[in-house]
Amino acid sequence: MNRGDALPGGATIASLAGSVMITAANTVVFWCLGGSGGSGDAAVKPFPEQKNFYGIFTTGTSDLGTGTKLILEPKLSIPFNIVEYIEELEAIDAALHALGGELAFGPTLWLGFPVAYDVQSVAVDAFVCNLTNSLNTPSKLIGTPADPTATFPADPKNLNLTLGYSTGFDFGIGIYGEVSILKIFSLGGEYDFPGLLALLGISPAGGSYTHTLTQTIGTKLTAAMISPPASSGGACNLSTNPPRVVLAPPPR
Amino acid sequence: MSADTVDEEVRLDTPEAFFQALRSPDLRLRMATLGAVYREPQAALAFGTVAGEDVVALLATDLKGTGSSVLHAALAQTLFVFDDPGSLEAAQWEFAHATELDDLLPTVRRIFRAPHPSQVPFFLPFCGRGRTSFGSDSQPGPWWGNPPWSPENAFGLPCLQEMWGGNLRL
Repeated sequence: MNRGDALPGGATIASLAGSVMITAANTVVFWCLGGSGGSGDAAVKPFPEQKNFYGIFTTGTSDLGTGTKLILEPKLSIPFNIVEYIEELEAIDAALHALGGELAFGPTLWLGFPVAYDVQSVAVDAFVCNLTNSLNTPSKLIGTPADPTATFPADPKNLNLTLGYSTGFDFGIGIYGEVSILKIFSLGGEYDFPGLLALLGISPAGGSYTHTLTQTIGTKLTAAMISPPASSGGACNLSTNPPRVVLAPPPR
Repeated sequence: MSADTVDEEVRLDTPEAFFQALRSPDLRLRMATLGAVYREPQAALAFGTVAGEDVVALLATDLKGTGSSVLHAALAQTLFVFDDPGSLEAAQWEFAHATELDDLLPTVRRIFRAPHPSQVPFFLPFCGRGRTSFGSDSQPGPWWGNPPWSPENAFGLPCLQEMWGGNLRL
């Protein structure tokens, strides 16, 4: 098989240097890859060979803001290779072995530890704002003062961001596939089905915690500037974009 | 420039609007106005005075009334672009009262921009009398005496070098 040849399922061997893992998850933070697993005894085949690699990676969903949570879910994924149980795939695997590669395909069992973050408040010194928009909105934070009678500091010093997070646990199954050649080129993918506990509506809670991040305002002059509440009803408006001021003095 | 990077444009075309923006409770507008003054000091001076106060006097008043912060630093940087005597007086005041070392460097730069002979009578008391002569005679700046920024190490020698013909560059 040559580079670029079609593989079963329509995938092709990418002409990439190094190992490439394509996952259905949003973000792969960490991936550890071991050997290709033992060859086993094809005549016995007592149980699908457990692939000798484990993935620990984190997926991120949603975003971080009021009403939404950023969920980071480190997962331990344990794949089982069933190629040798499918005659056509086993033939391809045998051909790839001659090229120092392999084909692997099968189910996975995963254990996940989701951590859900949300923003509880943003405060400028003692002036606390409850956010009303997503932190993913470019350059802006909009909110309402927690205490409408509070006075915005004339000389603000610190910006405090209070984050809440809760930990949990889930597990489930998925599928994966991988093809490699010469131990150099590798193309693979994995898809995890939703967690079983989540499907059952069970949310094991490992605890809820809060953290407050504090930063001195203006560590960089281009950093966030903060507006006090507007006179009409009050609002917190934090923006990284100051207005462009044009000086146009009247002619004398 | 994309819409994400510029929220709005504020045109200041009257002295009243200009001076209000310089003291706006909206820190974004205030800082942006200070930035505009820093870039165009002559345009800022062209606004003249309001209630007998020009832009230099306003900045000097605000500098003395604002504790160490990003606003204080911005006021200092903006004020010290002017060659006005009021700017030098404020820099000398800042040198004697600064509580943070970071606040001193722009101050010293501004003072050193003054005609050389005028620096001597200002710095001489600081350089010649040791530790407690910094700040003011009665109340030294609290930053003083915090090692390693002892008078001798921090400013004594550099300012003496500058005064007596050294080549100190800050």
